[in-house]
Amino acid sequence: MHLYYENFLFISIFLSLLCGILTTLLEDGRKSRRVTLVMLAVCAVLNGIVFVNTSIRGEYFTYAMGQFPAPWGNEVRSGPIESLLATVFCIVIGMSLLGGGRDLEEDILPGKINLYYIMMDLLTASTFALCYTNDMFTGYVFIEIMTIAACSIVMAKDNGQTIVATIIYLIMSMVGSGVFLFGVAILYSISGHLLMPNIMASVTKMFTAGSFHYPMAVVAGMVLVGLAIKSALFPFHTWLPTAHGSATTSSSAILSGVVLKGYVILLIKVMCRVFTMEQIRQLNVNDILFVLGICAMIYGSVRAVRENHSKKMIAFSSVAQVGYIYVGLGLCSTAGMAAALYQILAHAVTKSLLFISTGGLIQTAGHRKSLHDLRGMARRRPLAGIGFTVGALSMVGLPLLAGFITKITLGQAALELGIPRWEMISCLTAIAISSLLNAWYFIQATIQIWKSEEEDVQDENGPVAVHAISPDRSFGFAVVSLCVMNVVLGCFAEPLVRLLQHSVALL
Amino acid sequence: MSFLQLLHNLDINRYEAAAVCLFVIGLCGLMFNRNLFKKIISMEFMDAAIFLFLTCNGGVIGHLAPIITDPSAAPSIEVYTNPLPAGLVLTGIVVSVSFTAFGLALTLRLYKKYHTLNIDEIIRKMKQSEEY
Amino acid sequence: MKAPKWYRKLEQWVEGDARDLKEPKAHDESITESTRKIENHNGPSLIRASRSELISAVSRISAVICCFVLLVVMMFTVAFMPTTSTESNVTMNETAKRYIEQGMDEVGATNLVANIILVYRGFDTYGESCVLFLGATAVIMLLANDRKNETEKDRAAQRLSDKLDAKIPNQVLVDVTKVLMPVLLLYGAYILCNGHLSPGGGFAGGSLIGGAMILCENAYGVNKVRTFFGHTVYHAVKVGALVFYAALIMYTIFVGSNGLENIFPKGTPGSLLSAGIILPINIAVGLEVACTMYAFYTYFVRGEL
Repeated sequence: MHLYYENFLFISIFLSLLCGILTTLLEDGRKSRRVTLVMLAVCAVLNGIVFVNTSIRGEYFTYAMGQFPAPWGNEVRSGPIESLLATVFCIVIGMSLLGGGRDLEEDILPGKINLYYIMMDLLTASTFALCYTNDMFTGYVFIEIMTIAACSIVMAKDNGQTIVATIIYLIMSMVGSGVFLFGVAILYSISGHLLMPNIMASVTKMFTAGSFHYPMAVVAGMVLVGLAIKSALFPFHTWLPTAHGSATTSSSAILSGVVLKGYVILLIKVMCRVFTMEQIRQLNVNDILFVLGICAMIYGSVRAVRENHSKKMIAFSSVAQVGYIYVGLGLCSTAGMAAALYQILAHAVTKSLLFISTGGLIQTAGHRKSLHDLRGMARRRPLAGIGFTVGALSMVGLPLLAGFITKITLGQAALELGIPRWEMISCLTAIAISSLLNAWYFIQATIQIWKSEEEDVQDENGPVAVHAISPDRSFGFAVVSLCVMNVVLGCFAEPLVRLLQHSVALL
Repeated sequence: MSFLQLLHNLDINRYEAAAVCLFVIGLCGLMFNRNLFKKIISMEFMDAAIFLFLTCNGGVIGHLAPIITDPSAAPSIEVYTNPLPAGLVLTGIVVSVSFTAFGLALTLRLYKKYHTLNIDEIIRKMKQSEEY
Repeated sequence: MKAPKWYRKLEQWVEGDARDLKEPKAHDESITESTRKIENHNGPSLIRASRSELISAVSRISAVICCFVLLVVMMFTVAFMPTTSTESNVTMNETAKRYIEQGMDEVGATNLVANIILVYRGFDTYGESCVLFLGATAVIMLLANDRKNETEKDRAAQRLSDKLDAKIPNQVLVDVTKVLMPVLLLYGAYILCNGHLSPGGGFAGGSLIGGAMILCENAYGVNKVRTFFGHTVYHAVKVGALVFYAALIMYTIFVGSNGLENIFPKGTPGSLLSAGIILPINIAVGLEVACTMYAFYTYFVRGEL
């Protein structure tokens, strides 16, 4: 018999799958929205219970998904990190849906809105499955579910731009999953297993025997590249700005906040559980991730400075922030891994906040999206302005906010390398440059949106038409709670970072 | 390992080598074709290559397909091939079918809107027609 | 100075379809016009165009090099890999041993692949059915008729073609369908129900049944099919099948993982009513696949069921 909370893993996965399937029968958009939100709340509670229990016990557990034990059947596995990530993702998805609710009603035709919520439910299910899976092939199947759901929520707005963005996204994802699956197939033919601990055992055996070193490096490279394409690491980021910039508000928030991270979690599992960090370092794969991460940090920020489209600016900032995650992974140490995990949490909370509040500002400006048109909008809708400011300051790295702790932990992880190697120097330099550039464009944008309205008159297009926005309670709730989460992550970071560092060993 | 030995290995693993060639052809097609329809066909190539690779992973020449014809005799690993890759391929095929349908639906919509299948042309028309 | 021949050939090969775009054909008015418009619009377009061409050429050539490198790397991987297709195949390990030697006794189906995909790794396969469900949903989201993707003209054309089809039935197709339809349905049902005994199962049988329905729609028109398979029936069957499947899988996971006893009887291996949950799951999967196949077809053709 398992402990009661261990059943929650499969219950939350199947609950979200079943909600998605049953939503097909609801023609009414409002009802399906309610069903999805309730499901998300229930799942957040269930995963939260798992998190509390596992972190108190400080151990992980495995759960067989079927009649037969692990090497023969499927298996899921959870420690504190997995359940924490699942809980936070659940909350972020819920908040994004709440915050972008009005845009959803405007952007999607009433007959199709329940289909959007189906996608959302299955996206949630695949997030859980990717957090908890212990099997490479299950990982592949749920990656595909996540990809289709993510593509569909991009195209839900259904104008030319989003459909073009979707097909580019789909093609890039196809390449990514093809390369990933090929990597898994080669790994299977070398090790004869699909379950992560078993693969690890045979990989370790081969490493000590010194055989199959070359195919192993290729496998590690293929799996990592496949997942990097899907999570928009630097040279493969081309699909991201169009997709995230043109989708509806909730979709952008969820894509940036959750979907990119889902793939990264699988990547972390591959690095820690299929190989060990020591082996990854021997294969030199981490250096590739590190260099690309550094490039992404700088390139994303530079492009964001030059961008005038408000949502695309935030999307390019996502490219840079994904770079932070990969730099943490590329350091390939416990501290680096903890920094990457913290960045996953911090970025999920901050980026969804930024997208939602930008969506609010854009609504006030009458659906004009360039930064120029958003001038003075924060005064008309202060809550959205405050949300944007908090998010922007967190990205810049103001103390007491989540983004600051990311930079600090990442810097500490780099310093922990000891001797001043090139990694340490380049990492610290990249953090400095990226923070400066972040400060440049985010503070500029923040000043723009808070400018006084008199200056609007000098606008050559004439003043932006005032759009009276009726109070939107769910939007306010989402913005406030995401702000609070941001501050909590920033102020009480120390125990969390310590927990993450301890739990990396459990991965 | 000497070069001859490598060639010998390549000869034994010739189905895998063919799968690798197919995979690279598919990848090339996916990158170079500007036609959306051809891109989707190339994608099918890639998937087929992976299925070929997986299938020959489980095979041993001389063994039977994993379907027991005589339930009274005890089955042995010396007689049948590995059934697991077949299951994986089945899963993969269904996934690739859904992806193809999705891609084709997107292509259809784009064709209805822009009257062309060329992705560069579509992007250009999109930038022209919609406010940036 | 003229570039050497091999270089031009390489360039031609690398450029592929993009070449057609650069030199618009004379008869294609729309493309020429749009190109001209862009040129007028952008002002000094020559510089911009040559620069973007240069970038695209560089990226294409680097992509070609990447592909060659990938091919060489993968070939070496295959050469260094442990040899398959011989007795030393590493995948024939304890996992495969249990699947082959105990699968029939533990699960009850003589088709060992069915054992794996529906019982041992049932969770994966459920995810896969969800991918199919999602694919159908995404297609509906894109192609279902609404004011964004359908004009009055499209609708009129569709109505006209339906009317013509009803007036002048395609006699060959109708006759062939009369013969083939029962055979296809029967064969589909056979494959579906014998999934645990012979090659086949839900996915194969379901696509046969879906194909039979597509044939029927072509021969007799959509209204005939709607009498027994309309919007409501489609949703009811699909959701019913998936929920039933989910219930079975959840039951096995809960029972199996907590060490309780499974109430589904295994039966004697080799008989039709055996192998516990495999037969009901196969039927559910088959129904879902048939619905999805038909939905793919009909949404692509007319945008509604």
